[in-house]
Amino acid sequence: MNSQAMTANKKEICVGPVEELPEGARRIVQFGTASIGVFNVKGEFYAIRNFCPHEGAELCLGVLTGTNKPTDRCGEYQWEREGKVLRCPWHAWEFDLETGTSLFDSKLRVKTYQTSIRQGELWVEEKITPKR
Amino acid sequence: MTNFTPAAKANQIVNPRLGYPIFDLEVHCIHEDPHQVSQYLPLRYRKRFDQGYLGLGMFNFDQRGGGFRTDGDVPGEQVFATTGELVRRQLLEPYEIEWAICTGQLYCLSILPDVDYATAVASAYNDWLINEFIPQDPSFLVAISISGSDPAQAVKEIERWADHPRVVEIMMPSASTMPLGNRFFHPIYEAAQACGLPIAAHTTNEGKGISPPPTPVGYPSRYLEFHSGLAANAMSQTASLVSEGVFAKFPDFKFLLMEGGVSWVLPLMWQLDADWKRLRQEMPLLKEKPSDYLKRQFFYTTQPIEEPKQTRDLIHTYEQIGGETQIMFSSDFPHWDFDDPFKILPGTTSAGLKKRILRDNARQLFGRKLRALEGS
Amino acid sequence: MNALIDTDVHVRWEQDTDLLPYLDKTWHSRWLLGRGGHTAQGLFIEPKFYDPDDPHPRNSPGLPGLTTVNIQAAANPATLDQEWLEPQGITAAVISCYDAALISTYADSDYPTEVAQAVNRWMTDHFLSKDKRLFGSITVATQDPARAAQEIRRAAQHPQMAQVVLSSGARMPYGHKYYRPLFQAAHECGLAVAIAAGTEGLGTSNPPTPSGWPGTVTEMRVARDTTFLAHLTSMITEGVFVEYPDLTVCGFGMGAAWLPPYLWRFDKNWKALRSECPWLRELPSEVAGRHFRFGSSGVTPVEPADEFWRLFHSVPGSRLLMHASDYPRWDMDQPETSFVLKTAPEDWKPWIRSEGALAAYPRLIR
Repeated sequence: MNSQAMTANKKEICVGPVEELPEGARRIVQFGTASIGVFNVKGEFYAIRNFCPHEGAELCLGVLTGTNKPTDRCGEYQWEREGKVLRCPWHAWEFDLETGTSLFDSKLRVKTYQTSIRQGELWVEEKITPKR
Repeated sequence: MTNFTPAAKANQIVNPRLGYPIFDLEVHCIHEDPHQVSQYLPLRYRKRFDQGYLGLGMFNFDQRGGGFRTDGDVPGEQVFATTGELVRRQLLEPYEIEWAICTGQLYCLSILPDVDYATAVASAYNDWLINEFIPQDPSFLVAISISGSDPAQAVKEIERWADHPRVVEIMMPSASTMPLGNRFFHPIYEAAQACGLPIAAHTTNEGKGISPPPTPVGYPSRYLEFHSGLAANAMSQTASLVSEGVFAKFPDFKFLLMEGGVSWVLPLMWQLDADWKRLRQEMPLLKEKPSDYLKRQFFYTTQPIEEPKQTRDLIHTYEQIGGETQIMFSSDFPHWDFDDPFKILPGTTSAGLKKRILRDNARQLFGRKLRALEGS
Repeated sequence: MNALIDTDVHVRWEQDTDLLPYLDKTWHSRWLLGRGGHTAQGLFIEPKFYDPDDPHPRNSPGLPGLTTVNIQAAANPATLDQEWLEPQGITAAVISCYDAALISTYADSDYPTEVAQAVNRWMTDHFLSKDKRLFGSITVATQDPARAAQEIRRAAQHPQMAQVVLSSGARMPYGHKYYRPLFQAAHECGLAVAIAAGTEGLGTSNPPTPSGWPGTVTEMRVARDTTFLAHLTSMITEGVFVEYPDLTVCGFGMGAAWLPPYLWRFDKNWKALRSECPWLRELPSEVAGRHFRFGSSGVTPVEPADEFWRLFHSVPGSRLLMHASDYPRWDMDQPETSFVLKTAPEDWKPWIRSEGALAAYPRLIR
């Protein structure tokens, strides 16, 4: 599970060759002072901070699953976001892997990062937030 | 009883970040293989235990994602406390735990239909725990298990282990066919008092086996309803123990409610005290207010810690119920609702209260056995 | 600020024969003679936990001038007005027949269904039509939810029926789908649903604690809290308030202080487990704070009072309480000595005195 990421500059890192993170795999890497988790979900890559805002558990060690979509009708179950819901290993708070948003409180977010592939290597960088 | 008494030693924490190490009331150790336990069972019970038979019945209320943390060696897979090495690596060291009480996982004994089997399983489980698991780490302490369904046998089991240096507590299921204050169970409390060991009752098996449904109005539909509603049995058992005079009858007896929460006891104290003033003749054994007994003889573990919007409401409640002396930290490792001792009592908690909860109250409750272990 | 609504007043017929005109002849002898019937001796509860303050005329026949009825319930609207509404300045009162909800705990369903409609018709004739300030509770036999729903719709034709009253002791928690027809009918008719304490564990109900039967009357009183806790948890998780967003559920006789600490636990669990009940899209404490109301008569006074109110500030608790006297029972809450009325935060008092009841009971007209 240990990986040494080469820090190109403090705003981006190289995680390593893309083949080393096959579908279904994840890796915890250090991004500056933060620990982050990098995931390959069906060929799409995601990166999210490895820290649950609740009690500070290593969020990225949790189960990657789907969830029942919030509905307006009792007894209605719509399973969605399979493989894109990260559930904290401790108290099971669900976070959207892509946006980092908590599924029970849309105002609560875990930091996510941009991923890209450059010449066969997987890179993670800070997301640019558009200025308002 | 084994003659082998492995040396126990408090885990030495160098430069603890709080200035003191932490006492953990609850580690749910578990056997990896049923044979580890069944080897201690009489022959006639071995096969059924190995096959997983506990007589609890077909349905269960389960946390959909499994009941355990998933941040162990393989992310996403559940963590089981099967070895001392794992517990030390994932709990004792990172969380600076000086002593951890291994409470096992067997909280259904009182509600198994076959009382003799329940008694035998309790005994074999204690054999496994003390002979096989505890020796794996010098900082483990032991809570032995008993079944409430045969008090005479439970007393024998208590007396069997009471003098073992690492046995500090007796686990009794809170899931029961009668409230725990019922006279039927008093010989157990009397024996516990005589041995100087507290009884700890653990919730979560309500509604299983031959126990009544887990709520006073029948069966819940889902785990959320079930797990939240466990507060009902916590309240009922507390009211039972007080009202039936257990604390008055056995003034040195101490009772610990694990995983039952804490805050509900504040309004319960108000209600019990008011009722006692009016109904004293109906509770002739009580010489003091119910809350006086509770503040002296009833203990709580923090986990799962309640989370009001303002933590100061929690801390204030703790102070009102005698939390200064009665509340103790438990991690509940490795269950999903595990609490991190460094995170659960944030800044507004007085340093003194925090230390009492995280360490000192436990050291006081288990003082006699600790002195023997640490003095030697 | 002057309006005062009493949301829990007990009424009852003086003689059991008073109900005969409302009952089919098939049931007359059972009504008058059968054990478990509503005899002049009053509510038949077994096992009975002795409470020295709760009168038992069967055991004390010598009480002069007092019958069960006069101790435990008002027998006619004129007396109710003279002895209570007038002197206490009560603007409106919600009345119920305190022992009628017990019929839901009987093993059969036809007789209880028949008794329910008899009680409702009697109440309409003898109380509601005599005093416009009185608002009634519809008794139902939950053994047959379809017929119970029918009875709700029938009885609710009288505009002064304000709520459906359910027994606290039950075979299943009230959020269970089994009971949905009752909530549907209540919703359609603009009624609240009330749960009245006192029948925990009785008849066909489940034992009053998750560990069976207690040994003391104190524990039975704690069972009032834990029983309602179970119903509340069920109703919230099963989405009763998702289906009926205008519904209020009222609790009488079980206090309320136990609720805020419980909501801390419930909220925490919901954050972890919301996927199990995807229709529950907000904190349980938000749902509870909006949809539940507790009568003040069951509240244990606390010294200092701040400790009590602090709990209600820790959750959305400003709407959880409303004034209820429990008149004329032995533990009733008089307005001038009511702990809740006297010590509530000033800005919560209008709600407690009357606004809360008006919001809970659409049928109560301002």
